[in-house]
Amino acid sequence: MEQLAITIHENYLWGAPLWAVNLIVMFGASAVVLMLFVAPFAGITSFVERRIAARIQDRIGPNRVGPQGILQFLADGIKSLMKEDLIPTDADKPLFILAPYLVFLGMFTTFVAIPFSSKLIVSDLNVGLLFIFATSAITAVGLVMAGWGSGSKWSMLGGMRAAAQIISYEIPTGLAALCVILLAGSLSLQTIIAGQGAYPWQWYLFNNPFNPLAFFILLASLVAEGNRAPFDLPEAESELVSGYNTEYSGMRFLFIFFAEWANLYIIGALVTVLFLGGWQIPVGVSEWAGGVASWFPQVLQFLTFFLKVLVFVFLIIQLRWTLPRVRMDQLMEICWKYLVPVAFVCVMGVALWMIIWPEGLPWMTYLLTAVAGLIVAYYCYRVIWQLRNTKATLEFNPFV
Amino acid sequence: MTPQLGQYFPLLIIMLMALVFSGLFIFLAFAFGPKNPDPNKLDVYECGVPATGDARHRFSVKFFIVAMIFLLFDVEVVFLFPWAILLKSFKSQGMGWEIFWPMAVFLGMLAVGLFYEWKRGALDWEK
Amino acid sequence: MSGFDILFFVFAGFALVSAMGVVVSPNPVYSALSLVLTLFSVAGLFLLLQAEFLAVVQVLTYAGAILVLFVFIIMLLNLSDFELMEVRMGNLGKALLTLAAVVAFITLAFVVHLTRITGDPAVEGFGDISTLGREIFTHYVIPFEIAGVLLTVSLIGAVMLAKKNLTKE
Repeated sequence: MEQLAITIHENYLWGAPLWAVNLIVMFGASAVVLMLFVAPFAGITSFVERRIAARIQDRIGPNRVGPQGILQFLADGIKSLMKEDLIPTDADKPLFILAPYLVFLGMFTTFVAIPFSSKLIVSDLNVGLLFIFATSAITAVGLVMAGWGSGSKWSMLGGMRAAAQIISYEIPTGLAALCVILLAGSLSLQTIIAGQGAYPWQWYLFNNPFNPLAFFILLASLVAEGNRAPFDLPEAESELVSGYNTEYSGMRFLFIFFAEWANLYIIGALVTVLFLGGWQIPVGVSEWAGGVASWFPQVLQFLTFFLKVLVFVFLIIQLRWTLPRVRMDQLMEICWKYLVPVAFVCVMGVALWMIIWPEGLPWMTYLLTAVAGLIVAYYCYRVIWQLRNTKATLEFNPFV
Repeated sequence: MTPQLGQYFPLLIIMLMALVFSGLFIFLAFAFGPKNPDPNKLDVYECGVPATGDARHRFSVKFFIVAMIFLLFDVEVVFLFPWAILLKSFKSQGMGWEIFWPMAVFLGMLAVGLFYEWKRGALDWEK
Repeated sequence: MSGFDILFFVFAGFALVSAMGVVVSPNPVYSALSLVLTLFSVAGLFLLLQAEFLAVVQVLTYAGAILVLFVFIIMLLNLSDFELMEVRMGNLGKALLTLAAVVAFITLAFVVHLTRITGDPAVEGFGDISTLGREIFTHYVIPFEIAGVLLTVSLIGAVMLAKKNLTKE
C-alpha cells in the first residue's frame, strides 16, 4: 500500500505532499473494500429475503441462478444494467436524476462510522452515533426528492409519507439511543462497545429494566425509518404501486433498493453496537486467538459482530413477511403516543437508575438476562417448529 | 490538519468514492441500455390509463402539525445528547443530582407541552 | 495555501452559490433544496472550526427541517402554476427593495469588519461535546431552562394555530 502511495506520489498528482497521497490511497482502498463488502451483502440479502419470504408463504422462491439460486442478485444486477434508462417526461429532471445518488450517498457514508472489529473501522468519529443519524436524514431528503421529482401521483404520495414517517421516528430513535449514551458517556461507537462485555449480562441491554424497553423502541423506530414492513407505507405496493420509486427503472431503481438492503445491515449493526456488546469476545478466547496469530482475534470479533447483525437482519425480514402493514394514522399514533412518551420515561429512568445505583444491580441484570434467554429460546423453538411443519418440499432444508 | 479534523478526512474520500461508484454504474446502464423513447413509455405510470392532470397540485397534508412538533422535539433531543454524555462523569464526581435536575425541569416543561397537544388532539390523525 | 484553506474556500463557495440559489430560484422546491446545500456547507465550515458536534447537529436538524419545509411548500403552494411566484411590484417598490438590500449588506459588511476574528476556540476544547455540555449545564443553566420554556411555548403555539385554522374550515 505504501509502495503504491509512493509511486503515485512520484509520478502523478502534480507534487501533492506524500502524507496526503498516503491518506488518499489508504482511504480510497478502504472505500473500495467497503464497497466490496456492502454490495455483495445487499445483493445476497435481497436473495435471502426472497427465499425466506417464499418459505413463509409456502413457495420455493428463486432457485435457478447458481447453487440454490444464490447468484440471483448478480443476474438481477446485470439485467438492470441492460435496461433502458428512462426519465419520464413529467419528471423534474435534475431532481429525478439526483435523488438516487443522494439516497446511496447517505447510506454509504454511514459505513464510515460503523465498526467491524476493535481495529477494523474506517474512522471512529467522536460523534459517531449522531453522525449515523445525520446521514440517514440525508437519505430521507433523497427519498422525498425522488417522490416529488418523479411527477407521478403515486410517487408524490409515497414521498410525502416518507417525509412524515422518517422525521417522526427520528425522535424515538434518538431517545432510545440516549439510554445507552447515558451509560457509555460517549457517542463514539467503539467507546460504547468497549463499555460492554462479551457475555449477555455484560451488555447494556440488561443493565437496567429500562434498557430492554429502549431496545424495542430503537428496533421498531429503526425499522420504521428504513421504510420496512410493517411500516413500509411510503412504498406500499397494494395502494401506492411502489411509492416514491414508482417511476424509477433499471440502474437508478437498483440504487434505491441497494440502499434499502444495505440499510438492513446498518440497523442490525446499530442495535448490536448499542445493546448487544458489538464485537466483544470473551477475554480468554481473545488471548488464545492472539497467541495463534495477531490478526486472529480481529477475525473472531468480526465474525461475532457479523453473526449478531445477521440475527437482526433475519428478524427484520421475518417481520416484513409475517406482520400486516399498519395504517397511516396508526403509524403516527404509535410514534407520538407510545414510543416518544415511553422513550422519555426510559431516558429519565436510566438517568435515575445510574444516580441511585452507580454500580448497577447484579440480580436485576441476571433476572433480565434469564427472562430474555427464555424468550429467545421460545422464539427459536417456534421458528424450527414452523420449518418442520411447512408443506412445500424443498431441495434444501436444514431441519428436516 | 489537526487530529480531530483528520477523523473526518475519510468521510470526504468515501463520499467521493460513493459518487464515483454510483455515477459509473448509472453511466454504464445509460451506455449499454437500449434507447427507444416513446411518448407512451415516458408518460408517468397511472395503472395503464393515460395520466390525467398534474401530480404537483396543492394537496392536503394532514400531518403538518406533526411536522411542526417534530422540529421542536428535534431541538430538544439535541440538548439531551451533551447531557447524556456528561451524566456519567458528573456522577463519578458525586454531582449526579446537579446535572439531573436541570434536565428534569426542562423535560418536565416539554412533557406539559406534549400532554397539552395530546389533549387538544393535535396528535390525532385528522379525519 | 494549505489543505485547510482549500476546504474552507470549497465549503464557503458552495454555501454562497447555493444561498444565491435559494433566493434566485423561481421554483420553491429548488429553493428548499438549495437551502439544504447551504446548511450542509455551513456544517462543513463548522467542522473546519473543530465544532464537530455543531456540524453534525446542523446536518441532523436541518435535514429534518428542510423536509418539513418541503411539506409546507407542497401544502401551501400550487406548483403547477408558477406565475404565483412572480413578484408583482411597481418600479418604485423594486427600487426601494434594492436600496434596502444594499443598506443591509453594507451594515453587515461593516459589522463583520468590526468583529475581530482570531480563529481561536472561545473556550479550550470548545468543539468537544462534553466541554460544550459542561458550559450549558453549569454556567448557562438559566438560559437553557429559558430555551425549554421557549420550546414549550412554541409547542402550544403550533397547536393553537393549527387547530384554529381547522375549526374555521
